[in-house]
Amino acid sequence: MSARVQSAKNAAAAGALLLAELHTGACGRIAAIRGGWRLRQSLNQVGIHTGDAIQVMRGVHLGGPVLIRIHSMEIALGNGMAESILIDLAAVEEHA
Amino acid sequence: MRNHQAAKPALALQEHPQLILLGQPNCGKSTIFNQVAGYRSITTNFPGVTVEYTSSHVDIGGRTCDLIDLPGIYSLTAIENAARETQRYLLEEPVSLIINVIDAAHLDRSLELTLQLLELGKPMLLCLNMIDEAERKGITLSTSALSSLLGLPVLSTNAARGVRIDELFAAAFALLQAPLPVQARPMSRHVEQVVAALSESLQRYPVSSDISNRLLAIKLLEGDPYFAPLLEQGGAKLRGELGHFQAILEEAHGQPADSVIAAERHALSLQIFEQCAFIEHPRRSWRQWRGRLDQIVMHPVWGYLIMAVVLFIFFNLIFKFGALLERPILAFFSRGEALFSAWLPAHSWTAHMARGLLQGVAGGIAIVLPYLIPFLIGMALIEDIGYLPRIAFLMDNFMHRLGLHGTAVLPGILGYGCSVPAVMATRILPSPRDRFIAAVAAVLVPCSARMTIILGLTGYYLGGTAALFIYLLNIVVITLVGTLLARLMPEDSPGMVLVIPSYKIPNPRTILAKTWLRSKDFVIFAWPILIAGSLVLSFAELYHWERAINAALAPLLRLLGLPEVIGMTLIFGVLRKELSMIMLIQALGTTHIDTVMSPVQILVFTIFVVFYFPCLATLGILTREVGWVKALAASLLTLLLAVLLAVAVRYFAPWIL
Repeated sequence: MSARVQSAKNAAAAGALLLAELHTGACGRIAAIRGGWRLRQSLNQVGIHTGDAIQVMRGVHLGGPVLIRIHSMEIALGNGMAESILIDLAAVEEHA
Repeated sequence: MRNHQAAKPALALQEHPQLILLGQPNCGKSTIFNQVAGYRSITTNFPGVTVEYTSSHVDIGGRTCDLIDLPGIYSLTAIENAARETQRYLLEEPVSLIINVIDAAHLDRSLELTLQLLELGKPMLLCLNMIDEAERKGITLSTSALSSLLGLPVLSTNAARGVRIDELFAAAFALLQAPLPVQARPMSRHVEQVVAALSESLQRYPVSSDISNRLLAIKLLEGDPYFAPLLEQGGAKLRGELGHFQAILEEAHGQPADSVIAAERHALSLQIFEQCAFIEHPRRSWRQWRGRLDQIVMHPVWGYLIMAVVLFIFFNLIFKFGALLERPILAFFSRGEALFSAWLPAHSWTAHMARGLLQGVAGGIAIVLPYLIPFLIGMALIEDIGYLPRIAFLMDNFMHRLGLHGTAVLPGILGYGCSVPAVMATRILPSPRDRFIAAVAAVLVPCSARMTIILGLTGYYLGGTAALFIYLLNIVVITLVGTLLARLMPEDSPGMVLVIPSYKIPNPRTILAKTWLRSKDFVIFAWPILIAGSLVLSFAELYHWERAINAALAPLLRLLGLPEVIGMTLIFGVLRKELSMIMLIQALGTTHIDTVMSPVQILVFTIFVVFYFPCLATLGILTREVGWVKALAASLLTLLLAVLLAVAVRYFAPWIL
């Protein structure tokens, strides 16, 4: 098991990794969306829900946005958004 | 359909049935609209806001209707302006029939909106658009299965090629005459129990609403702010009861109530999708092609390079094409002017009026035809291909420093061409706050007219470095102003959420329709102002107001350390920026400006003219986009900036030059 998956498992115990921390190519499931009503709604509307599987197509670069693939759609999320989404990397390992 | 006559009495209440095109962004709604509406369509603002929708009176197969293209929404719960207005329209305006347009390639996501629309209980028809794209992705959809699952007529179309559009409207008219009952789909049992309990409670409160108690209960559980006033009517007791039901949902499902309902809809959509879709492996080449392209186009290094090349080509083509047309147009009008002056006595009232009118008309045509139209066509192309969201992705980081999102970069770039389309482009931004900040930034960007002054005056007399200095100073100032405005007007949107659509082959008809609608805006709002301003200036010349104007502006010019004879020049600059250069030569009486103005004075003048006030055409469009109070505030801000910068340069430049 790679060090990254291991660290993700540790992180999952304490919560999970922030989407903003993930590198290009990482896969996982949304563990939680931490934010107010507007933030939750704007994510829910485009089809991003807790429990959904995602893949990082372009990780954060110099504090910029992140590009994810979810339900066969590509969605760009601002950095602030990416910092309020928790990803469980281990969850996908089981489903893969 | 055949008994069209018999159906007339039913429709007599409203002169024409109101057909609403509704769907999620990028579903091809507007393409359908443009296929049938064409040039007769009009853009209307929702009352009191700058959100707009398009409507048209349409004749299809001998039947007439009003077709209304509302802004695309993801959900019936509004979190931004455009969606709120769409929501209001659906809930409060007369709607005979909803045509729910769906991007067939993303049916699973699109159904989430459809499920909410079903709750409205209005006659509805489903249009699976871009069916070819779904097939390329390996998704085969059974329209009959979907139709029986939802209890709605379902048609598949390919709007970009005009395939089955007539059938769509034939089905819509058939449905108008024999409406089918529309029924909401139930969510899971526990959620339905809570919804039922709340809607029963609602009967005991004096809340008045046109929508069903069930929909109201769902909306209240979701915490939709649209219904906050209604909740107020129910008082503290209703609020308490609502809180109780929300807590039940939250406890049972481990998520806030709004997320529970969103998840329910999501699950229901997926379930329906799986029952009517047959998925095989997508045609490999297609997915790989898009994936590979996006890997380069959105790459942290190559992406920016490609963007630079695309924009460079885009602007070069516009300027080349514009310059090619502008010269003969202006020549034509100056010949016309010569003809007038030969006919009418010089210095007469009529001669000046004719000249003012002619110059105003010429100014409009010399801007609209050569620059605006090619620009709007190019813009519609970039939009329709799907490159715009990719630019937004690349620029999001930088634009955040200005308190804006990535999409806002476009008006700024366009500003280097002409401020009018740049201000118009701010319309793509979601919130009024973002639109205002972006519009101010766009106005501050030196347009091509101001470029002629920067290059022709500072560049010519002081060298290229000085000209470059002005451009760099401009970028610094815009960044500072943007940051300042962002601080003053705190951000209200939670951040960028941008669905990156697949690339599409643009449809010429849609592009022309978009260009036509947008250029109409310029003609209606900016052109009359340009003509009026031109007339005023013409009379100013006739009655020798320049002495009075120069005297009035003398304190300002003394402050800037500029000769007082050029006061009138600044007024002309407001009319059209490129006139400043010509008028300066006229006012000073020489083409060798360096003989009458010092290098510092040249620099001060250039900086003042670059910043000082939007030209009249821009002011007109700015008023149209952000309202006259904000337009005036923005203009005064630019004036203040110009004075401050020019004075600073007056005192600091001698040390360097």
